[in-house]
Amino acid sequence: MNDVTRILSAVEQGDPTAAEGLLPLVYEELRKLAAQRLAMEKPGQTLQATALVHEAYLRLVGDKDAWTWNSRGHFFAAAAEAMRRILVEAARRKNRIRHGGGRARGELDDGCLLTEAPSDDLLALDEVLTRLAARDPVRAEVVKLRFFAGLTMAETAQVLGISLATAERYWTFARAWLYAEMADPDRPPSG
Amino acid sequence: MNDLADVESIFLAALEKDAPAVREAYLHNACGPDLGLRLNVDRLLKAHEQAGDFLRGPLTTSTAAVDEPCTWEAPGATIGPYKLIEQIGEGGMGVVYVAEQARPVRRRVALKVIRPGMDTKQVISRFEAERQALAMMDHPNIAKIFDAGATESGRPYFAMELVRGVAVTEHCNKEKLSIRERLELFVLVCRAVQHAHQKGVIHRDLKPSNIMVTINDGAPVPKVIDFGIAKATGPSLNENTACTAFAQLVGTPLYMSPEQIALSGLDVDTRSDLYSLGVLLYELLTGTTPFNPETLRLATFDEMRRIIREDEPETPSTRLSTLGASRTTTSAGGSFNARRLDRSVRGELDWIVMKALAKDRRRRYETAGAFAADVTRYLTNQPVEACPPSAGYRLAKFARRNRAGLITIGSIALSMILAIGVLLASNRRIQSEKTRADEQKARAEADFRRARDVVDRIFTRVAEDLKKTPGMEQIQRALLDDALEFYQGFLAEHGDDPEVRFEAARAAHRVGSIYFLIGDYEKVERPMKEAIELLDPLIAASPGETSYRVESAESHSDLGQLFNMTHRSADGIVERRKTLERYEKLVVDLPENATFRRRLASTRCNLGLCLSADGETQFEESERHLRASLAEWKQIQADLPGLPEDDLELSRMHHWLGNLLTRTNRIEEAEREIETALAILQKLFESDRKAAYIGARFAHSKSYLASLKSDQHNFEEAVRLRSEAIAILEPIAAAHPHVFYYRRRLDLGYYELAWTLWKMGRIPETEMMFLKGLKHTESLVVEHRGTDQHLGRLADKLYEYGMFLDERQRLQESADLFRRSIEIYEQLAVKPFSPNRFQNAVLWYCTLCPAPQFRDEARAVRLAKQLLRQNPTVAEYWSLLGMAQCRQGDWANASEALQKAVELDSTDPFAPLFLAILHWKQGDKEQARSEYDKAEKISAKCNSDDFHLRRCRSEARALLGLEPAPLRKTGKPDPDLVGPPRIGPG
Repeated sequence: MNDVTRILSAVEQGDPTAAEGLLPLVYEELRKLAAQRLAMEKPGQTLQATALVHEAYLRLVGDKDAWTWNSRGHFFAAAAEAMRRILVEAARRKNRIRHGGGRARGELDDGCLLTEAPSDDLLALDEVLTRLAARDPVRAEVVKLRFFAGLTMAETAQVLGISLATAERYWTFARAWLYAEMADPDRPPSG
Repeated sequence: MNDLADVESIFLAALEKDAPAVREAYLHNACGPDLGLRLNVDRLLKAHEQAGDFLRGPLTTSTAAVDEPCTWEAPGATIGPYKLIEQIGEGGMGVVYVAEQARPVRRRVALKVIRPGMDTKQVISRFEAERQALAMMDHPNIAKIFDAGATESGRPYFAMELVRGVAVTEHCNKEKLSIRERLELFVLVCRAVQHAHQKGVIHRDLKPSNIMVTINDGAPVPKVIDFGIAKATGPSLNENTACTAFAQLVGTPLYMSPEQIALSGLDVDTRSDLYSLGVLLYELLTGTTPFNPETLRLATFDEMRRIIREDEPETPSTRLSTLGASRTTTSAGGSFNARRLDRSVRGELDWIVMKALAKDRRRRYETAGAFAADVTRYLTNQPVEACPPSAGYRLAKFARRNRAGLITIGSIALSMILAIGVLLASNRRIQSEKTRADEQKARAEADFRRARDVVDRIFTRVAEDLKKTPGMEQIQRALLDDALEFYQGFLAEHGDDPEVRFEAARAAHRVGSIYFLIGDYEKVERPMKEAIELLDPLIAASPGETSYRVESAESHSDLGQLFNMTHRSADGIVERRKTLERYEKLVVDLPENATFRRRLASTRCNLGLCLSADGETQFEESERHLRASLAEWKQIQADLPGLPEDDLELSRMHHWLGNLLTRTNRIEEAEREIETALAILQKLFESDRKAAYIGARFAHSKSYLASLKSDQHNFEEAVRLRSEAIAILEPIAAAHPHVFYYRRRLDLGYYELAWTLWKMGRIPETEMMFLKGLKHTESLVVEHRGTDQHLGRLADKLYEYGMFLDERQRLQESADLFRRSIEIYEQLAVKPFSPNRFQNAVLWYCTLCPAPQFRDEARAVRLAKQLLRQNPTVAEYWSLLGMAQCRQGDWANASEALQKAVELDSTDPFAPLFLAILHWKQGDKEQARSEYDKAEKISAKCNSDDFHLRRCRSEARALLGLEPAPLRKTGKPDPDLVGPPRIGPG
């Protein structure tokens, strides 16, 4: 039993605070995987963040034990948050002030074509997502699980303990809300 | 301020109301006098429409859709060399006109103008790619396509032979044709389609309205129109999302094959046309299509796909008998008596139609010619090739009908047992009837094939369905293992049948792929190798059978990918080599097959990249493969010109080669490759200046080259390239002001140029470029007010400009800029949703701002500790914590933090630099010098533009006595750089 499965069992035995320990473990694993993949990935393909999450799940949790959706849910919530942090940190690293306005030399190396996604867009998304989370954590969580952890709608609903229809409603709404916040220059004061 | 839940429920309810008037009425009611609420809902509705694939794929950028009003050209207008005479039709795809062509020949043509919403350039280039094949078609029953182009408003159009006639179904009904006459007409259509297939053209949109009948000398002549159009206007592989494809499907799913509707990315081949012909024949015989158009119209998209992929339609004769009395009003009624029709359709015609309509394309006729031949056999009273459904077939139907039930484990197992039972029974029959009449044996063999299909299909379903069902992986694997074992057992008994062997190999490959997909890497290798071992003797026995060889190549390719994923790079390379070898042979034998050629080129590229990832020793071979791949892409592009996708691929190859060359320090050659990539992009860009994404890519590559030049201190060239990139981006950004990506690239461009100019010492120009950039960034802030990222960026740039002025000793101005920048950072850092980025910025300036009045080390320490509580593994925070503690003279803690930073990120030059300072101040000069040297080594690999780094290095050099201390305007050395550590704000 590794640390992650130990935490999941604690969660299953009714200790929800145990889940707090998941984030750093999952975060580490994801960073490690991302670094490995970046070295191997084919050209012209961006790193599939969500695939990494699922790979991390298989590596850390495996499927030998039939975990309940409650504990799996905690894992994926942690993974979504970890992936979000990794991506945002990477984006921020690109922008960080100590590198001034110039291009970091590292960008000229292999990483350059692999992470072409504009870092500012991701930072903007992160920003509006945080704003949404402040107003409505559940709807923001739907987006995080879908976008950063790559869960299907049905899985998302299970993780959050809401009906599929509700999950779909939240998703439709949150997507439009986030898009509007990010893209609409003429927007009235938020929300 | 309205509650989110209110806004949400009104928004969602409004979404369900499609009709604008209904929606408006609803919104009016629901929002009442609350204008703010209404504004918010409207904003969401607009965003919903524009959001496209936003958040649907990982890390995609969003671009807002541009609405184009839909207006059609009026008769009398001219389009290219054509003058419109009259409109003769309007369909889902566009409008058809009769038009007159004046030059080079005077003739009347049919001009089809496509509805807006398609990428005109792509449509035309795809048409161009097929133009040669289309030109080779010369058949009396095919309408010629002359030309394709774009109207002034940018919509694609096609000019083709004018056919004055009516749709084939309409003709049959109007003329009350008999079954025989209908079949004869149908045979002509099949032969025309066969001709096209032989020339390599697939229609993809065969339906009655595309098969016109004209009367020539009193005889009906069918003409198939629109060849080449469906392919040009269809979704391309990479945009084959449900959304785009759905738009394409509107109108004609009735005639589409299951594989076309599946949108699985599976190549649509000639057998898809055969399915459509099957639907046509069904309609000619019964007056109805296999699926009810009304049912399909009302079904959701997924439901519609399910129906077409899974539901088995009634046979034509059953349909005729269920239509009953109403039949007299349908097409087929009239000159022949209903009962006679039933009788003649039942049996062989049923089988023929149902064979063409098989869901699995391998079970359809091989070619349109074979289809025509079977119909002709029926007409001449010979036995037809199509056979009646057998027990196995019915079992398959049962499986399809009971799909939901099959998900439960019990019924899956049951179906497997049933199917396997049928399979074994028919196998025994084959064995025991060996001595009996050939006919019976053939029959038994047919049964066996069908039963095997069932196992195959159930097995596929098990794999696919269970993958979607959480927690079912165990059962899935067990079943897959059983299936594999079954195939193997069967193989032992029946190993001489190549078809069984092939099926077993495919099954094994699939088992491996599924293990791969679910991440059970240890189990992938065995079945993959199994597949390869099964295929090897098959290929040896039938070297001409392409499908065996492709299967083998793809198995090796997947195995290679497995090894790469599991860090067995040497094994991975071996498999890549084998894949390569196989595709090389395939391309030698079938040089015309573009897919094989593309696979060959991309396999070679993969091998090259694997080798280069494997280590420096392999760079040489890696390069050889990358170059060969490049040559292949070049040849593909030369032979099949006009596909921008291939051109982009080629430009990417040059880029990768340039990358490898940069890594092997052959900068000049690297530059040449990047330049070639640029030349390709330039061409693409010139052929369509409006293609913003190509322009942005082009500009991006220019900046890349500029960075290479700048690294070699060829600043002149870097400045030229950066200026060109800006010149490309400015109009693109102006034309698409709402697309973040282009604006951001431009914004970046200004500052990159400013920095290069700064390095050259072209001070007035640097300042001008900074001001230009700041103006642009400020406009972004204003245009996108409320989105803090632009504000944050403005703060960064104000800070940079401040650094620039500080170096020029314009201290008052720089202090002003720092202050403005810092005000923004502070404002953003305290927002409840603030990303760490702004706290991070505060942390940097508190620690290292050159203007002492803004520094606050105590606060930096508090902030760094706070950030580290949330993110204990971020090296940057440890580094900054250590620096701030060092400034405070807290040596012990500083040392600990800096060590931690070095552990986490060995590429950070700040930590060793401050360790050097720290050791020096504690009197350990030797250690200080060693840390300084480390820092210098790392710095050499860092961005030389980093102004904080520059400052800190010169501080350390001064401290270690390597150079005099820098002077500030006061004429005295800056006390903060050499003096004792300060505490508190300045």
